Amino acid sequence: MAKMKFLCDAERCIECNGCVTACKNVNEVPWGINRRRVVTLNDGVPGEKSISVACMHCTDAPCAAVCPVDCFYTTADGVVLHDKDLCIGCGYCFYACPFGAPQYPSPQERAFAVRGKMDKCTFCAGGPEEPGSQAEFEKYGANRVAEGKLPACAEMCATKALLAGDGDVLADIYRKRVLRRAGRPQTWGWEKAYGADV
Amino acid sequence: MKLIKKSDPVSAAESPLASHADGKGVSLDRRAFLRNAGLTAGGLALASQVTPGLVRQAEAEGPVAANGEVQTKRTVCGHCSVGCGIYAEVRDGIWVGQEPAFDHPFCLGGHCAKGAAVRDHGRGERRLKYPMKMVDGQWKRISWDQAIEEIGDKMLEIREKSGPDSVQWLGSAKFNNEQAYLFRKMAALWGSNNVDHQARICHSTTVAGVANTWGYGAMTNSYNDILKSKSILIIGGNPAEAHPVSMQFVLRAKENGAKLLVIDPRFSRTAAHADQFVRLRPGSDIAVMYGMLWHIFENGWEDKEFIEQRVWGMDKIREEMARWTPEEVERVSGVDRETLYEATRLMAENRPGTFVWCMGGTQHTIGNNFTRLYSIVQLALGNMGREGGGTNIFRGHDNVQGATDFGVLSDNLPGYYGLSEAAWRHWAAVWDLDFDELAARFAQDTYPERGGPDTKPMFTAGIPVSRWIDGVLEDSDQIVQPDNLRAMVFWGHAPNSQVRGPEMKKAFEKLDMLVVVDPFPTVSAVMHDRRENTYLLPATTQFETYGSLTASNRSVQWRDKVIDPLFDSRPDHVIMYKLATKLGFADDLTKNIQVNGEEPLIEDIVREYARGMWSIGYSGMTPERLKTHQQNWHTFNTTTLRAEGGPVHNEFYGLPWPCWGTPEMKHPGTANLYDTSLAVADGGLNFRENFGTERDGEDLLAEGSYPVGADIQGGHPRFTADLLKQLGWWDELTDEEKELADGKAWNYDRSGGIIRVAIEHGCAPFGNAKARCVAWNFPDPVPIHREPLYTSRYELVANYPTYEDRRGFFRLPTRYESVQATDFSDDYPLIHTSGRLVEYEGGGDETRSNPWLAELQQEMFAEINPVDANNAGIRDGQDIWLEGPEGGRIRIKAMVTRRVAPGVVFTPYHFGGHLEGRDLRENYPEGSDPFVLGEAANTAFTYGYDSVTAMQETKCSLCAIRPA
Amino acid sequence: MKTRFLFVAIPLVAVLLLLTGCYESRDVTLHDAGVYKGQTDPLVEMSADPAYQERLRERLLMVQTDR
Repeated sequence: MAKMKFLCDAERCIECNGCVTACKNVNEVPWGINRRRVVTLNDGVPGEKSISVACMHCTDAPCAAVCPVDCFYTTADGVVLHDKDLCIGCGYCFYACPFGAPQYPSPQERAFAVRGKMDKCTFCAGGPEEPGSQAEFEKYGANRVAEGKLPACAEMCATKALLAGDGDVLADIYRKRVLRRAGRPQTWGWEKAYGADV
Repeated sequence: MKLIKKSDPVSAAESPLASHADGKGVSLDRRAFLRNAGLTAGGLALASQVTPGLVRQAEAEGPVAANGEVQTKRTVCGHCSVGCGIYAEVRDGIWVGQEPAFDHPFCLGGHCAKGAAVRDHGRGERRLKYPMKMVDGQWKRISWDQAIEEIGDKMLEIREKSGPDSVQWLGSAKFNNEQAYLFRKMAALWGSNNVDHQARICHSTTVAGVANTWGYGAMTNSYNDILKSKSILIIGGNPAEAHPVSMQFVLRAKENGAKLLVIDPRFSRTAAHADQFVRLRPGSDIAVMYGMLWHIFENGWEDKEFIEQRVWGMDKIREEMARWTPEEVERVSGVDRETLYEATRLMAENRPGTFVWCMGGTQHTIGNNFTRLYSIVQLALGNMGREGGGTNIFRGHDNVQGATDFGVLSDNLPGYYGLSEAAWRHWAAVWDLDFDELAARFAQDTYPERGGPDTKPMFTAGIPVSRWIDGVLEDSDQIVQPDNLRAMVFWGHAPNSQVRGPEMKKAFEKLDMLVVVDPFPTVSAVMHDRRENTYLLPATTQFETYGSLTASNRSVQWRDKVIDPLFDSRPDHVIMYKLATKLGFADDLTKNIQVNGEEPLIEDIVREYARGMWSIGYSGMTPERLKTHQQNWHTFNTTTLRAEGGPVHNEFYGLPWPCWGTPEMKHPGTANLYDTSLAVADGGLNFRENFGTERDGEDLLAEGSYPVGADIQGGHPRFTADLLKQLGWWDELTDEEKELADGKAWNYDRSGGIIRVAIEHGCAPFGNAKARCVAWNFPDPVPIHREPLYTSRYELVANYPTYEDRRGFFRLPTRYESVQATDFSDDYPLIHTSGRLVEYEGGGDETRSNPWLAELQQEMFAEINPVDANNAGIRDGQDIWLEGPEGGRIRIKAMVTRRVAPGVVFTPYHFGGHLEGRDLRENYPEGSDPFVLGEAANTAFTYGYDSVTAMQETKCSLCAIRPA
Repeated sequence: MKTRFLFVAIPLVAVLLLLTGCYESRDVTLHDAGVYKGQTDPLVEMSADPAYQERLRERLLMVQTDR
């Protein structure tokens, strides 16, 4: 059984924000809501690394665990989604989430046709409405997976740093990259860990 | 939610962001900084106002609503020269979806922030929607007819009084090839060389420097070819922000074992991925390059065979190199001996290596010296003319390569034919126009007393975009043309990409007429206090028309039309036709081009220019060939760019020029320039004979090096009718070919016969010569270092002074030493340099009007080292004034970061709409103000122009900073 | 005697109190997901279909192939 995962390869991420605008584009995410962000550590100094972060679709999702109205559910392949009709926008899931993924529109704005409800990355899988329907799009954004496509952020990543899909396949792809890099001593951190001559 | 008790001890969730949140040991990144700057885009509040019906419709529908069939169009991103393919989904005329093109050979589906956001062009919420005219300081909507009528009348009036040279035509790197060509032709028919575009201020020094080294002034290999590199040197470039998709190839090459060396004043996001980063003082590239050459020759790392066979004048370079001991290199550039030795060794031990440069290497008073010396380093290493090597010069805009090729330049005609009488006669013949009639449209006097040559304006370079301000403000008896510039046409060109803001404002206000033709009002519409005679004409984006564009690697891509023109906008070539009709030369403009209504047929324009573009091989292109390539993206190998099977088997993607001869020759294009390992007919080449066959008694032709299968096994001059006769190959021409070819050189033979015969014999039509290290026609034949006009190291001026002042340089007096005579470094102690952000492009009007992009960069800022910030009493995030030595000042946010060295301040140049602390938002036509406005960095940038191309100096000026 | 008792008892109580203050239950209150109460999403059933999963796997390989 496939398990949908995101993986961001920090060696390849160049913080170009293609993933962020790809998400905005396909889901019509309004100004002020960021389902995905690029986070940079050590900005401007050696060791600078960036990764792209959104909802990670946890297997044992803390957001679902704390939700007082039980609006979260998980698809058979591990995508964590929620029902905005049920959501009360309390922000408890924001406390629980280890990635800062849940977003809340300001009370004055109507984001995604609803006011004040939590919004987050859907893995481009929409929400609890008929897949591909107008109702689903307006409330949750695109449903690409129902069309056999993967999340736009990863599909449009400039350097193919961000991967999305079945975790087993991702692991294979990533392992191959790591293996290729491992042959070269200039891999980040290598010299420090194992010495320059290895 | 249910609460249960578990007895397993659980540790607090390890959050990868936890360490970020507490801020310990982690510097805040640029975006977080800006988000925290406390601003929610001034534009956002206005976002919901004035939303035209079409926009609302597009928004409401979304990509999934039922009715209407979805059509998929193949287009190309309009934001940089990589040329990423895009599938645009359109339903009922509305652009509803954007899908990644995994089969596209350049991007494999990848996009940066800009590319992933292009669908917003389908809405154009903040576009200029109707023709506008300023009436007593207020914008008023007018009709197209009225606009064209009034503009045309005023132009003709100016022409009557002051001559055709008093109108400046600034074209655009955002035109497609056909529009660029038509624009240059239009300026010619108007009778002036005062026509230019963005290439002047981005890579003009590259084109001049590189072409004068080995023949063609373009990127030699391709982004894809970097996969074959063993080492990659990037100097003065930040592709992680400016060409993000190119990093796909750089990082994959790195994974395959290539070493990445980044030389830059800033620890850029590209540098963050480097194996070695070398920080230099801005403007000291000559010192660093001679330093590398010093180590190359000191250690015997030069490619002796390559130099002997294919390079002339390296001994002269070694003479100059002798003064650049490691100690002197360190004194001038700040790079020490050991660091540079390691960097040089990295390149020497990992060949082939490619050499990438961008604006950091071009925008200097000695930019032409930089680009030539970069090339010479590659020649010394023997990295030229091979896969994985080359000088991969990343161009800027999506079609800046094409617009350059088609001569939207004040010193050229399409195809780099120059402005000689022979060149004009060639194009007059292609246009089927009488040369004398054409010549009569130009001004007829000469102006030697103003410092000009004894030739008419038709044959002298016009005023370049970098100097239009001076064309307006300079005393008219100092300008080498009848009168000052009195009307400016900004046709797809932002003014905030040019320096000297306060003077620019004066120039704008002095103009008799200002015309802006653009999808957006641009800063041209707002930065002045004009009250009359100012027009804004809404042009479409490239997604509302179709045609070809040339990527940085010389591949020509065909773009489908995605949607019909939005609002009351028109494609550029339609507007050109309208204006030409009013000005009275529309029939000449489209003599061989079918016109449907008011739209010249794009395909016919391709057919026309192909009949004249022999020199750089656009001659082999047809609309049909280009469209076939577009429809078969998936058949091209993404490393070699060669089609494997399919309808264009063996051809290179986009027929990268030169695609020699006539279309019937079916030349596959040339993926890597000067590569002798392939036959010329198969994309091989050698260095061009463009500078004679002999110099100082030495042979300039290649020795023992020639493309595979050449009948002439060694150097030879360029092919001419006479040479063919000498070789006994003349009779291989057909009778019709002989008629057109007789007495002509290969590039003036409109039959293509000479080229055909040369290539049938395996020879390059342009000859086979050595690259030259000494450009004797340049002010500095051997590239030398000269301090910037505004230098922070004034003590170096004694050893490395700038040029003498000049007269009549691109028609204008040009100051060098009289500026450098004053030491400004006491009052303006910091070096001011500029560059790009990934979210925005150029002057930024287009991208700052895209909400998905604008949200990510909401405020103009300056990067300042903590040392300088503390010395000036400035804290991170504070408002500051940054002032340049000519008095231009900008009010912006401080971003304190070690990304820049102490003594260096960096600003991005995409912002506009604020001027010296004043918010100009109310000056925009209602509903057309970009979401994000900010001070233009170039307001504070200063005087200084390259000695060959008049490129502006925007990579090292001076500034002072203080809290606001 | 009484005071002597107090001399022993008070510190003893104090120590006991201190020790009590140091006590922490090893049990942690965990929040476990409740039963989803929202509208049914047809995608949940769709996503269990091996053909659906295969389609996405092929898509992933296409996205990530460097060609």
